[in-house]
Amino acid sequence: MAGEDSKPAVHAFVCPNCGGQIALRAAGQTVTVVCKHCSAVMDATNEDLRLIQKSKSKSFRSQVIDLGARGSLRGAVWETIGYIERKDVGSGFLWSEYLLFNPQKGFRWLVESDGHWSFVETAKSPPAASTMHLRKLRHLDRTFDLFQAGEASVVFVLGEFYWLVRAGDSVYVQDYVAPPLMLSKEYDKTETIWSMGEYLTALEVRDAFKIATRMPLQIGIAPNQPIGNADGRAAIVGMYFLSILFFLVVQAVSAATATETKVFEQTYDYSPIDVEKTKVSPPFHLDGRTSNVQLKLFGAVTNNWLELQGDLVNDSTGETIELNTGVEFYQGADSDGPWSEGNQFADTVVSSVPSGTYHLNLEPSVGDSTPTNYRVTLHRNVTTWSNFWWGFLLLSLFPVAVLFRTRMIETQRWSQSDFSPYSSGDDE
Amino acid sequence: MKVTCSTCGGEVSFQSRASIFGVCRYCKSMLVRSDVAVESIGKMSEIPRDMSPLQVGTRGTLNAEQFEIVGRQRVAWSSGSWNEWYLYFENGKTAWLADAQGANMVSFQTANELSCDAVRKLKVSDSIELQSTLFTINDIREVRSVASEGELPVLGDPGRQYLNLDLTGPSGTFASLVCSDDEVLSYIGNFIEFDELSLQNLRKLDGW
Repeated sequence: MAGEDSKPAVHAFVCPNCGGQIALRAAGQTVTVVCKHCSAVMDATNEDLRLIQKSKSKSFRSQVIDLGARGSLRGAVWETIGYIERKDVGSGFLWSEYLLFNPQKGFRWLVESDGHWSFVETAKSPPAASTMHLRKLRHLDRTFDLFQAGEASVVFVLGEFYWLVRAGDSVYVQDYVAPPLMLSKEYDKTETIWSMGEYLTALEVRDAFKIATRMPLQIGIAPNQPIGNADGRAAIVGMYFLSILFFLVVQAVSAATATETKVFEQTYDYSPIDVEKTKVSPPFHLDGRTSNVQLKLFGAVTNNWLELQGDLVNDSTGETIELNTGVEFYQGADSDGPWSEGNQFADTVVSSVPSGTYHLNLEPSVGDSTPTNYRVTLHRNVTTWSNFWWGFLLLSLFPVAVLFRTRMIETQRWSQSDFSPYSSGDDE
Repeated sequence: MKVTCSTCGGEVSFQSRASIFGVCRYCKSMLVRSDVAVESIGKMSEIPRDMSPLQVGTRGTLNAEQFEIVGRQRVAWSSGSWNEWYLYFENGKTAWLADAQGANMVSFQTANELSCDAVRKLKVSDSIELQSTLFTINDIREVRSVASEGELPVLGDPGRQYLNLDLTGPSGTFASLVCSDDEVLSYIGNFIEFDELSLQNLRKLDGW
């Protein structure tokens, strides 16, 4: 029956202060009405409007939804019947609230603060006192964190309201957040009201009410602004751990099937006056399916280094695979006692070496050209970890980036709060 | 049960046996029903205009039981007013549907052993046990009947004053206590949305 394009029901009255016409859109519910001509505040509980306050309040913010404007939000049509500006008494921070009415659904609020919007409803069942802790409370199976506590005072009113409201009225407010939700407690000596707000994008509000004017500039991260998609984040984390598990299984299988067969071992002398710079090994067989080959080098060097250029040559195809590695080892003593640096052992691995007959060409070079000796050992089909670690690293990049970004945004969000879990200092 | 209006002779029907008060829809006479007769106690004033989508004659379903709205009392406190709709179920049960500040509560009368003296001592935020459930007092108001229509189980003549306490319990439950003529009436129910009641024969509101 209700359409956003149908003509709003308006009962007109005459303002007892200025004589202008006053519209009443929620007759029977409305307790306070503010004349749009002279800003006088009137008691609307009787049909003869009684003046409560000759208001001189003025607007500090831009009202982007006109009174009487209708919009569809959350499956219902809402008529804008009231507009109010409030400020935090402590900081002077100002925000706007639009009161919405639907005869069947009752009242809702659209709250605009720093260009961020929330759709707010009175909480029918307040959170149980037992669920409240110092800075947290449980409600509707979610944990809400205290974001702000202060005193809010009315600075400007326009339109009609279902309670008595005047400029200067103030209440205490506590906001608890669990994005996209915000649970707010407003209380004074006589009454406590809980309300539940849900974050709306400015686009949703603009489209719902067909707002033609410029939307308020959006600043920072709202207390209840959702970041990305929490379900998406959970999915990423799930996929991440599944992939790691998959990697581990692959690694375990390859470790279990690795034969680590020793195919060649030889110790060579080195002398700078060797006629043959390159040592040629006898031929040997690499058996089985295509797999990796590991060259281990031991160099008997002290305070010296040894670089080995190794070529693994396939005797039937002539194809050459480089297997270069090197060792360096230094030791001595100083005032702190003996020290050593480096290692006499090194190894290198090449993957995907087909089976066949091979030999090694080995060309060593030594730091200070003193005679020494070195041992070369060749293993077939060994377990390697480098693929696993590279995979792990690459796989981690995206989740870590997402986590990092989320944390940055959370830090920014909570920088507006006196109760930030991210700030150092007394609040930690 | 049908009676004849003692003022205009029009037919006035009482659907609920519990109803003791009715307003003749022809001449707006207020009729008080006793076991033997119907007595007119004066003319009812006009109910102030409101935007409630309900009306006497609206039908709906609650917990798979059909009801019809057979009466309404408009009540007011110092700064506001609301409707109490009297529901009559097919099986003879009755309930109240309050439509106040956009929130709707359906409640059924329950037995209690409270005295008005005790109720008058209660304060906001006090807790009290009703039917083995703990309820917390949200507000305490002196209220008065503004006007009424249809049939009611209470006297609905304008100006009648009583004390009204609203309470909330666990998971959307609601209760109210009424002190009137030194008798405490207690009601327990739930917050509901109109959507849940499959309402028919709603009032046509201008512009909606």
